[in-house]
Amino acid sequence: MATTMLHKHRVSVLFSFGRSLFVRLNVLQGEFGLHQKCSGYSRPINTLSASEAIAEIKNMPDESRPMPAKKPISKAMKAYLLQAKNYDEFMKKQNTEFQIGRRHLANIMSMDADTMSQEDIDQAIEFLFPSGLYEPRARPMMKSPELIFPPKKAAEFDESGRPYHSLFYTMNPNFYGLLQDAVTEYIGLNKEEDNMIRKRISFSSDMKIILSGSDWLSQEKLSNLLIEQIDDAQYEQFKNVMLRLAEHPLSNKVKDFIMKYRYSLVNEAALAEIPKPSYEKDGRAYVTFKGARRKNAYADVTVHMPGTGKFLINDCDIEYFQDIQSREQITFPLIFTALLGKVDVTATAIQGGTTGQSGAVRYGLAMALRSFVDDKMVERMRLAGLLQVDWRTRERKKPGQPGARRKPTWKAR
Amino acid sequence: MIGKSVFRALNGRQEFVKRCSKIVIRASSTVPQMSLPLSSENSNPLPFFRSKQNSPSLHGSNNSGQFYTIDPSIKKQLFLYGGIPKTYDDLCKTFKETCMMIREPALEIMDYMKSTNFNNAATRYCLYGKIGTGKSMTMAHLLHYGFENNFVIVHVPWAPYWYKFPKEYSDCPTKEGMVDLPLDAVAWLIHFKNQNSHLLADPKLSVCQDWEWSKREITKKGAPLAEIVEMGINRVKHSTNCIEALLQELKQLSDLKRCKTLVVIDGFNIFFSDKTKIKTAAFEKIPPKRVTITSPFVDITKQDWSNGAVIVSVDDLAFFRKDERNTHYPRGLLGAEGFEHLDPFIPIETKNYSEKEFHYCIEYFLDRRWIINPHAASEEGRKELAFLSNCNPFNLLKVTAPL
Repeated sequence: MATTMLHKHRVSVLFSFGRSLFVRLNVLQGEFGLHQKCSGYSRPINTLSASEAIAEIKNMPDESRPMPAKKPISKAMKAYLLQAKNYDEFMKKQNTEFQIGRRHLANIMSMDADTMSQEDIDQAIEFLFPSGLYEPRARPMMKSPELIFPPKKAAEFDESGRPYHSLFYTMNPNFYGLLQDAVTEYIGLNKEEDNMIRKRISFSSDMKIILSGSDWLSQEKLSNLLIEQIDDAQYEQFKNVMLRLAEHPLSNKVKDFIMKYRYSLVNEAALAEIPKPSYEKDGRAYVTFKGARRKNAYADVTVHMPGTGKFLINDCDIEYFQDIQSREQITFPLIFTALLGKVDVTATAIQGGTTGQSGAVRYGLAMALRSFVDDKMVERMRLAGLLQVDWRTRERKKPGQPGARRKPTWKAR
Repeated sequence: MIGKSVFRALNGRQEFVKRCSKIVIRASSTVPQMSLPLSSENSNPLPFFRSKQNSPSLHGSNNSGQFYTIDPSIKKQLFLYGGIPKTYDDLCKTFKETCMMIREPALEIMDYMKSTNFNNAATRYCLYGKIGTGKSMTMAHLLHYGFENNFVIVHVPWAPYWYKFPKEYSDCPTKEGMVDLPLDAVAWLIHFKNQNSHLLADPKLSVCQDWEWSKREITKKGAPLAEIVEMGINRVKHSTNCIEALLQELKQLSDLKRCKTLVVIDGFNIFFSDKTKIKTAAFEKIPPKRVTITSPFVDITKQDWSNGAVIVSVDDLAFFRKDERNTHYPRGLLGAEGFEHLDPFIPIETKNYSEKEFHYCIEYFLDRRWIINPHAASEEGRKELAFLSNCNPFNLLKVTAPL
């Protein structure tokens, strides 16, 4: 029996889980028509009259057809269904609480409850419960229960114990389903490729998907997406399968499928919003970028387009920065975009020191110059690292050590 | 040009070194060995950034921005003990010639001096400007001018040296509470002698009054001025007194029209500051006022004599690091006392390079192969250099050094 199961369902029968053992045996019985004692045969035949016996025989179910028996639900099944039900109820309750909370919050913050977005809620909570904790996930939050509580799978099988997903017995139906989908897509692409070769259509490089600029979801993220625990071997297998698919010359046709399991390395949202320049009274275009940061310094940078190469920082010329490194930092965006001498730059920098202020001005300047160059140049700036905030800050001194990395003098004895 | 990004782009140090060594090998094999041609060797017409006029008296605004060469013998006489800033002096050694740019401040002062009525009290010029804009270089140019026009030169190359790095100090035996700098005084007298050797032989320069150094040592009236100088050099004990005497004599001689004196003092504002590194025997730190060598030089910058000129520079670098006043204006640097002393004076500002001067300077550097990088010579490269250095002469030198 086990071997026939294998053939039909491509499953290795694992008897590691006690609960599922009972379920599976039940199902086995159901599948192959092994019934429990039918109640219709309770009375002995010699007590019946002829007509009664004929009627009974007529009404008897056909033995050749397997019939789903009305068997009592096992305890394990009951427990499972109860758990699923409880979870649903719990989520419902949390949801109502959340909705009530939203209304209260709207009341407190005098905002309109209907148009309040999650961003507004986040801001309100940050205002009402200011936290000094470094880890954002440890701070007070108020979010919809779906986002807070880990998602659980809905009931995976019906009352009779028959699973909904065909790959349920693999223990990770979503994961293996994903692999099977990938293989299906691959087979489809192969067929298309064959067609193209037959029709002598040439292949071009843009028929293949470009994977640069994105990376595969991490093991954790994939587990969350599939609501299943993925172990290391499975993750490797996933990557291999997807990569194989992506390497196909026609992989661009299944781009949507592949990109579902990849995340973009580029903060596209931020880059997409290149601000349009405003105009002065005399018609000069200008752009201001505020809040450029580097270490502890902040800078606001204004760039005027038809300019003569003037550079003012805190009302001083470039001699505000005395060391050559700082000066080179702020020159870099102008040289790179070839706008040195063509724009006027006014910057104000506060806090921080020389390196911080010059780094902040450089970032602000690069972000402001985006509005005056074409997209190709913006992309080149991004690749050069000009449009990325330098997140490096001074490392904390740790207790028991003189510095961040410095350890007390090592002594042999 | 953007060294760091090139570095990163070449994927690591090894790649970078490999490529550098390739360039070096290529350079040594393909570029012919060049000897730096001296401007004096050039028989061809001079390039546009060089001036034919090597005599400051003949410099005019048409020479503005051009480089003129100082003869080595003149350099030895005038600047042996200081006068050309050390960084620039090293550059001159590298270039095998001493060339200086003819710039507006110097031309302006020379113009005034040519049209001054020397019967009036000695005019005082005060050179001021941001660090690295050419105050000391202007003074060197004017020294050469004074030398050519037979001025007796009273030159203090950098006054703060006396107060920051005194050779030796001791309590003054004659004046109470004052401290002597005997060796520095001797050194200055040697410098004076060197610069004015051709004039000290002149019989017109004779002492106007008797000077008694001690019971046995007297310089009588009518003796040559050189005698006072020799006395100070030989007798260390009397060196500061000799300086005092010398400068007083020069004032009198100038009044009597027997000579004309040019006083050039760099870092004049140190005389009116509060601190020095000099201590009394009781380890008490003293201000420059209580150092004997200060008073003769402050005295000669007064307006109680004629037939001469006083050129003084004020610089924030004269002060100790901690006491920097972060200003380049005379009033701020001299303080109330100093300003009152020097007032009235003609303030002359030294500025960063103009576009023309910058262009000439780059051309000179290229000629002298101070700049080898081809991108630096290009249009964009020059713009970048101008931006990075803000056309400040000293900064430009520093920025172009690695190129």
